[in-house]
Amino acid sequence: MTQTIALVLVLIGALLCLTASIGLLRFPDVPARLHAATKPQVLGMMIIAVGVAVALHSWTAFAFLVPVVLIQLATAPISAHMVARQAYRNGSVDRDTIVIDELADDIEAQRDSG
Amino acid sequence: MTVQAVLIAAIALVFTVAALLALIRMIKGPSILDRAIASDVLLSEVLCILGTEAVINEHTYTLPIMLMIAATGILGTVAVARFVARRDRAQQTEGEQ
Repeated sequence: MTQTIALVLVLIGALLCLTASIGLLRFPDVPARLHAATKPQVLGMMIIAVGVAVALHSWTAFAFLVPVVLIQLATAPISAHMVARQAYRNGSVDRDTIVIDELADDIEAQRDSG
Repeated sequence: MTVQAVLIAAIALVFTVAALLALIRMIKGPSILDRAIASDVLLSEVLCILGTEAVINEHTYTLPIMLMIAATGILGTVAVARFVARRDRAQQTEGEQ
């Protein structure tokens, strides 16, 4: 029974991976793709970690999975932030889809001041 | 066929399709940042598949590998992002001269 519950949890995580890949393929520009890409990195990984803990039902496995999820939570935003920053400065962002662009004003002000 | 066999087959199918779609985006590009994102997604899918393997076979051998992938997976994407930054700056200074 616990094995079936764990497999259902893993299937949910796998479906999140699939949605991320579909979004990666169908969304038009880098920030939209980044938005799709973060689903398996955080939520899918967490659900699969819960599945592993349920299947193995041991505290040792749980103690191994907690740092995995915490490290993933800490590092996923860093890489996403750096890629999005470079995409903005590179011009790979579709400017027509941006409603408010405060960063452009800041960059302009910085350039004027020196 | 038991419920578990059906679930395992479904999980395998979903992961295969997901990895193939990420690979298509990695090949098509168009920019290096798209490829960096696609490789990031592919790496997190590898992480999820290692967890799945631990669930199906009920052993703990893959857990240290998961820990190391989670810790070092960021390096590739960050390195690519920095590389793009330097190339951009070089192009800008060339344009100004």
